Amino acid sequence: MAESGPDPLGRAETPAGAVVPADEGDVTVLRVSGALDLALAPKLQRLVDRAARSGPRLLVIDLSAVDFLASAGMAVLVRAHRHAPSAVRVVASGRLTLRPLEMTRLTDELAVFPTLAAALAGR
Amino acid sequence: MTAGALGPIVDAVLKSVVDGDGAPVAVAVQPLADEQAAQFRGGDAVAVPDETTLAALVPDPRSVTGAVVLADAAGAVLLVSRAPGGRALAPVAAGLSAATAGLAGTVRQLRTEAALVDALHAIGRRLTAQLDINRLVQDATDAATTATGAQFGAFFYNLVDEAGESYTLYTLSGVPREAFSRFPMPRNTAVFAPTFDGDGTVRSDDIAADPRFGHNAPYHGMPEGHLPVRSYLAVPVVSPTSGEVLGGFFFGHPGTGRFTERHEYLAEGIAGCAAIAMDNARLYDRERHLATELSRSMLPATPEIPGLDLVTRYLPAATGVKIGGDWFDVIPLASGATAFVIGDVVGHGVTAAAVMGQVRTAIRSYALLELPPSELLRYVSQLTGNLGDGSFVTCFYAVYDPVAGTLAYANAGHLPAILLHPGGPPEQIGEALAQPLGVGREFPQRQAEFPPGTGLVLYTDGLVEGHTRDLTLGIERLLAALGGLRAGPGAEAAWDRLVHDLTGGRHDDDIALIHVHHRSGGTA
Repeated sequence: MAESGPDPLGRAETPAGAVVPADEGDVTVLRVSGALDLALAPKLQRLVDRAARSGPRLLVIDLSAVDFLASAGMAVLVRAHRHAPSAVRVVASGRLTLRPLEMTRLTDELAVFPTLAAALAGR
Repeated sequence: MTAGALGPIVDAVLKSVVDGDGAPVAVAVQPLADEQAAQFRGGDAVAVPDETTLAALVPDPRSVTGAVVLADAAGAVLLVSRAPGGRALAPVAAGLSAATAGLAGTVRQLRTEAALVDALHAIGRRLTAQLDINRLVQDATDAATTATGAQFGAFFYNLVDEAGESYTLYTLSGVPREAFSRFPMPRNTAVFAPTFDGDGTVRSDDIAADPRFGHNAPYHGMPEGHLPVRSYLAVPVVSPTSGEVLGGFFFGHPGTGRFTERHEYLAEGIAGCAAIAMDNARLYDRERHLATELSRSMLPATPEIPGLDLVTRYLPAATGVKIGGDWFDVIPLASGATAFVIGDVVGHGVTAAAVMGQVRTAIRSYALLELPPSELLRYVSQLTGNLGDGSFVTCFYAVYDPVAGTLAYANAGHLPAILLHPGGPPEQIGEALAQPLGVGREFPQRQAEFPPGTGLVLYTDGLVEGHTRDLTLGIERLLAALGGLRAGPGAEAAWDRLVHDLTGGRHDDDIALIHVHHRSGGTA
C-alpha cells in the first residue's frame, strides 16, 4: 500500500505530501510538505491531536514546503486554532499557501508567520 | 544455515562417538556447499556416502575410518573421522536419527503449519486492502490455486449491475481463458449445488467416482474437451455481513487424491478473506455511487430568467475520489430578483454530499425570504457551525435586481466571482470578503452595476486547479480564457471547450459553475 499511517516516529505521508514532527525546545513543529489535500489533512489532524495531548506546548504548523493548500487543510488549521487559540502558530508565505489563507480571510484569525524562526520567536 | 537446523543433532553425534575409554573420537565437521548437498537433500536424514561419493567430497578417502552425511531440507553436513574410533560414527548417527525421527517429523509438521498461517495471513492482508473487485478476485484465485497445489482454479461470482440485473463472471488461474470459454457456465447440478448454495466445502479424491457425478444431460459428466479433473475441491464464498453467497472457488487436478485436509483448510481461509474483501469492495462502490447520485439528485433544473442567458455545469470528479462537495443554485425570487449561489463543502463522499444538501436547503429557504446577502450568509454560517465538528463550506451568494440593474453580493471564503464587461477586461469581485461558512461571523456585502451586456461567472476551484495547483496561475488562465468567450447562442459549446482546455479533459475535483449574461436589448 502506498498510503500509510503515522509511523512510530509520528511521520505521516501520502503519495503527494508528508507531515514530519520535530521538537524545537519546548515547541512541537509539524513540518508539512507537498500537497496538504483531502488525503493528508486527516493525517495532519491526528498529529495535531497527538501534540495537543502531550500538554500545553506551543505548536507550530510549518507550511513552508507545501505546494498546494486545499480547503481540507485549511479546515485542520482552523480546528487546531479553535482548540487552543494562543498555542498554535502557522508558517506560510508566498502565494501557494498564503493566498488561499488570505482569500478565506483565515489570516484574520490564525497566527501566521512568514518563517519558522519568526514563528518560534513569536514575532 | 546448515548449522542452524542441523546443529543440535551434529552436536549429539559428536558427543556420542567415543572410543573404548570413553574419550571423544576426533571428527571433522564439514558443511556441504549447495551443489554437493543437493544429492542428499530429500533423502534419509542420515546417509553413509559410498566410496565414489566420498572421494568427491574429501581428499584421501582411503584414510577415512567413518563418514556420514546429515541432511535436511535446508542443507547437509558431512561428518568425517580418520581416527581409529571413527567406525562408530555411522551406527551412532543412525541410532540418533532413528531416535529423533518422530521429533524431526513434528518439527516438519510445525514448520508446515507456520508456513500455512503465514501464507494465509499474507494473502488476507493483501486481499482485504484491495477495493477493486476485478483485481481482488483474480488475486484470490491465483493465491488459492497456488496454495492448494491445484493444476487450475476458477472463481465464479455474481455481480449486480446498475440496472439491478444479476450476472455471473469468472476468473481463472493456471489455464488460459480459452480452455473454458467454449463451455456454458456451471449449473446448479448435484456436484456444484453445495458450493452455489453456500452449504459448504466439497472435496473429492476422484470426482468421476463420486455418486453425485454424471447425472445431468446433456453431458453426463464433463463436457467433451473439458480439462480432465479427478481431484476436486470447491469452496463457497459467503458474505459475512449479509450471509449471501457471493461466489465459489473451484480447484481441479487430473491426478487423484491430490487435495488434503490442509488444502481444504487453506482454500477455506482464502475464501473467508475473499468474502470480506468483496464485501468491502461492494460497500465502497455503493458509497461512491450514492455520493454521485445524491449530488446529481440535488442539482437544480436551471430556470428560465427573463433577460438573462444562463449556462450552468456540475461535473463530478473524474477520478471518483472527491465527489459530492460542490453545488450551484439559481433561485427566482418573488420580487422579480434572482439569487445565484455557488459553493464547496470540504470533504468528500456521502458526508460532504449530506452537508451540502443541508447548507443548500438553508440558503434556498433564506433566499426565498429575500434576506440581504450579508444577513443570509450570517444565518447559514451559524447553522453550518452546528452541523458537526469542522464543517467548512465556502460560498458566493449574489442577487441580481433587474429594476435597479445591480448585483448585491457577499462571499464566505469562496473564490472571487468574475464580472465580464463588454469591451473591457474581466474583473474579479468579492475576493477575501469574509471567512468560510461555519467559521466566519460577519459577511460584508458589496454591490456592482450589472447593465445589459455584462456577464457574471461563479465557479469552484476544480475549474482552476486542473493544470496547476497554483491557484493564482489557475485564475489567470481562466481570466485569459474568458476574454475570448462570447455569450448568447453557442455559449454552451464554448463552455464545454473552455472547461476541457482548462482541465486538460480530466479533473480530480468536482467542478460547478454558473455563467449569467445580461442580454443586451432584452426585456428586463
